[in-house]
Amino acid sequence: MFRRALLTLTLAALVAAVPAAANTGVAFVHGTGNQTDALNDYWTSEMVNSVRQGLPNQSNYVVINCQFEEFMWTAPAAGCLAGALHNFITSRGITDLVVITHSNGGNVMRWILSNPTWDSRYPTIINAVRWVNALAPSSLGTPLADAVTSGTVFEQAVGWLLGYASDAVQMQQTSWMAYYNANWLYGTSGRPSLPKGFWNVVGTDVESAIWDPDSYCGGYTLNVGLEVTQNWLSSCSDGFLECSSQAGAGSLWFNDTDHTNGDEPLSHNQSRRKCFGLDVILRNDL
Amino acid sequence: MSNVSKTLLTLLAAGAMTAAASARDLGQDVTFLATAPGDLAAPVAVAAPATAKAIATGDVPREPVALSWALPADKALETPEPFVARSREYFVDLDASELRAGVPVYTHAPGALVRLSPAAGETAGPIDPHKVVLESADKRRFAGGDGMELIASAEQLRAAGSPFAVGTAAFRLEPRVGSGTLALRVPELPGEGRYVMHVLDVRSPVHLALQTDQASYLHGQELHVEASFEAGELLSAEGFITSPSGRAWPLEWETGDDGRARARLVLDGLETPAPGLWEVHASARGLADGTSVLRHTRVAFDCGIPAARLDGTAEIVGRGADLTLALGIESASASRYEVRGVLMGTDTSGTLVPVAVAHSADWLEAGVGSLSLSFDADLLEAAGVEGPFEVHDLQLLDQAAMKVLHRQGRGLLIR
Repeated sequence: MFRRALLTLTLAALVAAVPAAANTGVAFVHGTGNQTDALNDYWTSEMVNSVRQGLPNQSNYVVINCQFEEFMWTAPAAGCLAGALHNFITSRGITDLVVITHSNGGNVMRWILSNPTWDSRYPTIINAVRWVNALAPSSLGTPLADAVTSGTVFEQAVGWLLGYASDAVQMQQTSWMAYYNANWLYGTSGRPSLPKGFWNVVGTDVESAIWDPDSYCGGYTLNVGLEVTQNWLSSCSDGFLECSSQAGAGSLWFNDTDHTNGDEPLSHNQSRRKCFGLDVILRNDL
Repeated sequence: MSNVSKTLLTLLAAGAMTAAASARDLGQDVTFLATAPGDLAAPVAVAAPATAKAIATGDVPREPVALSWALPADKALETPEPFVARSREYFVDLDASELRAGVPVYTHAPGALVRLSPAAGETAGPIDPHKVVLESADKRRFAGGDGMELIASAEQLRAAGSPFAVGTAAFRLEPRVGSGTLALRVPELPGEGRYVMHVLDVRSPVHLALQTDQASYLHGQELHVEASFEAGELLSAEGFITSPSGRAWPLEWETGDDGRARARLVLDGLETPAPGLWEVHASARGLADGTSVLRHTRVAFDCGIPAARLDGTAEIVGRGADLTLALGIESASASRYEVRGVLMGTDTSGTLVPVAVAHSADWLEAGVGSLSLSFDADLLEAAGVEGPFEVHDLQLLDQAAMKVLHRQGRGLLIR
């Protein structure tokens, strides 16, 4: 009886969650870095073109290009993202927006969801969002950012403040993200929920065996480097972020090996590329 | 989590936000509750320095914006504790001549990771790990990459997308090198440049833990910080505090009978505004299993100028289906201020449960003003709760300076 009731409710949900009149769109939000051509340089067109096949109108997509070397709340970061999303929503009449973020892009999007009064464009964006699919988000920061920014004597402590490491890297230190999660961001344990769903895809390992063709998806050299950086992290990581950070805000959608083709793990580089069926999973979610 | 489940949960949440509203008894009186230990509250508002005013009158939005949304009743909310930074790593500043002569490497467990970087701003070239000579605690010599595994060149580390300093190289010590006080030399290193050596004792249980007594402070408040060793004995500690603008203050540490080192500092928050956080930097020496242990870590916090304060007045505005609370604010400087809080209602079992969170921000000039915190009627109706209500995690924020000025676990009682 319970299963029947659940099935009925589920079917009702499927029909009602995306109203027939909804105009669905998808936005791709990159991670740390200043992007001017994220379609080709960050995501690759084969990834984006595959995912957007799930849209009723395949032209309803936008690939964000912003300056995510900055702190998440700044005009070049969240301001730029808000401007692009607001323009996409209003110019195309989007009423049902799925946002796909990667890495630090999840933090910038979570800033918008958590601070609706910061900017008058934010409520419009929040209202249009169906949910966020956060690919390997750095929600709790990463020990690698701690390692990168650890200076030494006084003048160097000041030195990195003046640009030795980027603002975005400083921000992703674990104690910095703990502060922002506790005070300015929602969705982590014990904190109020975000106004819209934030669903995590967690990368659990890196494979870079030279004889394994799977290691070449997304770029062999990048995966070799990630296997090295994995040593600064706990046993479950995608080479840049620990699994606990990737699952640290919002809700777990799935761990990579639970749904990827061949149960392959997604390294931090592969979770933004057309690897092991990730593109199809994201397409079917639209 | 299947896509169907995502959709179902989203629909249920949306249903909570779109249920029809009806009039209900939202109470008549609102009372400001007394602050409790751990709350952040300013006794008086202090005018921000001219530089802060410059930021506040820059590209900061002036229009009012407000939003509220439902919270799941069954998801308990907690007041966050200050973060505990834990480290198994230390670093040391070295010049090329020291590296040529040899430096100690303190390890507690086999398999430590060693990272060598040119110091910030230096033009010194990268160090090739194959040119490093290691000497174990029992005086065995390893050279030409012997004794190392997982050697990563500067190029490989950069290819990983990790923003290590340009020229950084790394390697892991093979277990057969052992632990204890090792020696590292780069006999053929040219020049007189400066380097930083990081040692991550990755397999050691000995951590340096560092925690402040609060996450946010106000100008003039005293910070207390505590450092301790996990699985080891702390012998001495040193450290300092940095502010976002780059000022620094040394800390005087005292080690207690409990083996913990403590320091305190009255915070001077009057400075040129800069984005980012304050930090405590600490390094500590200790002993574990008869081995010398060195650790370093940092922990972030923030310190704001209380340019405004909640003046302790609150009233229910209007008698419609929405619950709107006007909160009195005393401001010493014009800025964009925000109030936010979590509405708690009483369920059928008499338990206070989360109902909704509301945010409201507007530009306020110096003087006496107010901000209204409004919870939509449909959120209240959908929650199915009754009074008494409370507003928890009540906060006043200075958005222009990005500072928390007031934070109160239990803020308001509505009967």
